[in-house]
Amino acid sequence: MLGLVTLLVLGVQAEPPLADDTEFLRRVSLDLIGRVPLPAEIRSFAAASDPSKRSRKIDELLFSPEFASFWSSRLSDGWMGPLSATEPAAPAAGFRSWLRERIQQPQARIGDIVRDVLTASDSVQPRAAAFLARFIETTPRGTELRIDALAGDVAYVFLGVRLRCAQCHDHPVDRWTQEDFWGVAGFFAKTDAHRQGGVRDEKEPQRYALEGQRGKLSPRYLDGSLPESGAWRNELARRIVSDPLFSRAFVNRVWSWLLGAGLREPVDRMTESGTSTAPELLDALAGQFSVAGHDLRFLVRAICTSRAYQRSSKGGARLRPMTPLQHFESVSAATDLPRAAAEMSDDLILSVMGGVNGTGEHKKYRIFRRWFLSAAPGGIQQVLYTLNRDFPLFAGAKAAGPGKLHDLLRSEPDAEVVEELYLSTVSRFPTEAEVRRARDHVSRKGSREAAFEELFWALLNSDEFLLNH
Amino acid sequence: MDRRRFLAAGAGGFLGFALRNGADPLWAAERTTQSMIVLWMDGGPSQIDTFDPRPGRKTGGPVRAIETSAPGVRFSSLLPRTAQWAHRMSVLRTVVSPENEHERGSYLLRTGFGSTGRIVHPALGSLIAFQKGGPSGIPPFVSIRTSGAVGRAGDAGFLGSEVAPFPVLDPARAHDLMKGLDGTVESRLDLVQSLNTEFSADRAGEPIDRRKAFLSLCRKLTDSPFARALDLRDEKPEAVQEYGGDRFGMGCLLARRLVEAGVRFVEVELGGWDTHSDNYREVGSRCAILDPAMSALYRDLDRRGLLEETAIVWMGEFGRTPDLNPQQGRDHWPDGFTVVLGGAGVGGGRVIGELDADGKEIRNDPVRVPDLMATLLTLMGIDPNKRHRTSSGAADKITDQGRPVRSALD
Repeated sequence: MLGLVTLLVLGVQAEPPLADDTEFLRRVSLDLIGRVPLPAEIRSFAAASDPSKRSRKIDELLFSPEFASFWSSRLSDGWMGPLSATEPAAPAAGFRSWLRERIQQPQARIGDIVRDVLTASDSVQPRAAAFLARFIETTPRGTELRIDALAGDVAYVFLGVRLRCAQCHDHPVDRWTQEDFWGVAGFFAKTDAHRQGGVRDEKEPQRYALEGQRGKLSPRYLDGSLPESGAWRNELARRIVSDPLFSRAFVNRVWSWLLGAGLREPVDRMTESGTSTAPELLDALAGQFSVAGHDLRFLVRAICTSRAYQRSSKGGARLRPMTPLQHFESVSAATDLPRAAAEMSDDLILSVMGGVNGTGEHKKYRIFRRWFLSAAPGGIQQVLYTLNRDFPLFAGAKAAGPGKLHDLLRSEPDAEVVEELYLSTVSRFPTEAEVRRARDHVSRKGSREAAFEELFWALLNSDEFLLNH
Repeated sequence: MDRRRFLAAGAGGFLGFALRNGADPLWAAERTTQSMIVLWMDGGPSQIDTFDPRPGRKTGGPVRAIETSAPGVRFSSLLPRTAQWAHRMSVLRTVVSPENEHERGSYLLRTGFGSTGRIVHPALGSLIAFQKGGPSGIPPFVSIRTSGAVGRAGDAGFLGSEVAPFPVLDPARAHDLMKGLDGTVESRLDLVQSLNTEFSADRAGEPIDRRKAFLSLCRKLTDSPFARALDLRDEKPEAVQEYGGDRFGMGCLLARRLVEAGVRFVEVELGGWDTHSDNYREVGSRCAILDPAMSALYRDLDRRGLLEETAIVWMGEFGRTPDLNPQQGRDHWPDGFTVVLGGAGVGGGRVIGELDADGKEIRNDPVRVPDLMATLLTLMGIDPNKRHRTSSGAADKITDQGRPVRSALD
């Protein structure tokens, strides 16, 4: 571990200032559990004098249910592509909950999880089979599994290489040949698909005849090895997860999620020419990840405890826009949105979202959440969601309750309200000047309710809130 | 007429960033079509009961054929008003698709590509918005649809959020979308700005620049021609009536206003075409909504001189079987169905492709979906052989080897 820490420092050019406690807590909460910390969490973390409180906090977050929930979404988005609001949700949602259960376990071994994804079927880990089922096509010719697209996707997602370019000709700028491509595809040649969208266990000799590839497809891995048993998908999965490319690609992606850019860029072209920040660091980290049995928490912990991760954004740590999920969960936590959702105006939801089926706070909250997450970040819809103060997003930030602001105004003096709003949104204590300016704003405005509503809204729309820094 | 938008076109995305792919000026110079409206017939409309009647044949049923404003071109008697605009239309009667199921069919017809795996192709509207750009502060692609969310088929896909559709669910209440962006927004944004100044004093980066651009767009939007166009409350009741007065009609009226304000691409959805049972009653009720709205759209655009620069497309994910099933319904039929092009850049009074007397076998000129996409792109002055970058960095062609149907174009 000592060697690794040294290497992690290597990833940084100069010795920068480290993030202070509140900046660190905010960043690690967003990255590990997908939301900003709550005021109580900030207060107790800031007050603690334990010198190892940062690594203790990292461990506390790593083993919380929110970690499993946020990282299952993150991995599922990475592997399956993002959920859309209208797609039949069941298979993708099933995949997500399967993944969440796996990550919840104390040892979340990514290699084992990927092996189960690649070998899933209707009878074995059926929820994980949603990954393969996306490649089932029903055409007038019948139902079939598009193993060419599947092979390209598997290599892209799990190995970080664009093997698909070698489907029709040898790869123009990489080492892959057409034989490599069809060799990987061949491992799926015995896999059958059926009309209901499931993947069945191995069937008898393959019937697949692809254009330009009339002969029988025979499996052959990228290192030239041939399967040693008839369970071809198992053979492929075993080879993929023990391939050094697998560890490198995964480590690099996680690094890019946590620090804003991979150690190698682009992250999806690991064997082509690109830019490497610290090649020896990537090698070492990938090696240790593999030795640790591909344990997700080991990897995340190693990165989060490093100085590279704990740099201050004033010292050049990369600013990252929140993902839609982080954004939503953070507003939700900052304003008590689930509680406020019960009072959401049906009227507005009708015109924005087309309708609400059923009632109850959780129902409305879930509909709005799904809707929000389907909007493209940075697009026009987001402009509306985040600026229109009458939108459901700000239901908990209204002076007329229920919600965070309503409760605060009823029970706290102005200075406390200001502090609480800053802690809830930008996750730090306000400076004296900020408290003074806020109070000036209140007295200028005349209405205490209106003034604080405005301040809360402005904080929720500030760069300091919307960026992960 | 307000044509300021074309001066601004191509200057950047609506968020003010330079688009990665600008329009090729040489190609664009050939065409004057500036905007496109797609009337999306969700569920798959019956071609025989609309634009490809089969009078006197068993497959034609009780629906008659009527003469149109174009000599020799006949439509179904369910579309008498629309028939008056046939001289501005090219009717493609032999479109073929391999997809027989709604979701996959919609994906193909909306994007021009088959749906497989993780890549999400951009919808036609996003593609056009991306290639042609538009005035800053005006969303280039508006989708007026009955179901709330924007699905996988119909989104910007790998082209990204700047060209994602702006969804409007209820055209009569579209102004609600701007509620809360009223006069107070200026002072509220000033407050945000003062918070940001402090934060960015000792930090820098691309995300901060993007946020700046985003906030300046917000200031523009509140009192933009776009926001005004969204508000149908200032339309006269007669205008609403002319379009039929229902939701789809209001959608078409809104589409006209948006195109006038500078929106590049608008789609308006009319659902209920999945007529597996009681076909004639169902199709009759659809056409009663479609006919006034579609004809009013032509008339209104023409009256304002906008039909010379706006193309109108009528399409769905596939057609319906020529034979009726035991429930007196028509089932899915991707093997020769109709798409109607009209307005700017379209050859008038033409029929392309022919089926046999029963409307079953294609006799000539089948049009593949990628060919249809190539035709629509060509209509907008975009070279269909162009490539663009996908999110994975690969340069892909913007159509799946489509060749434009030249005979449909002016």
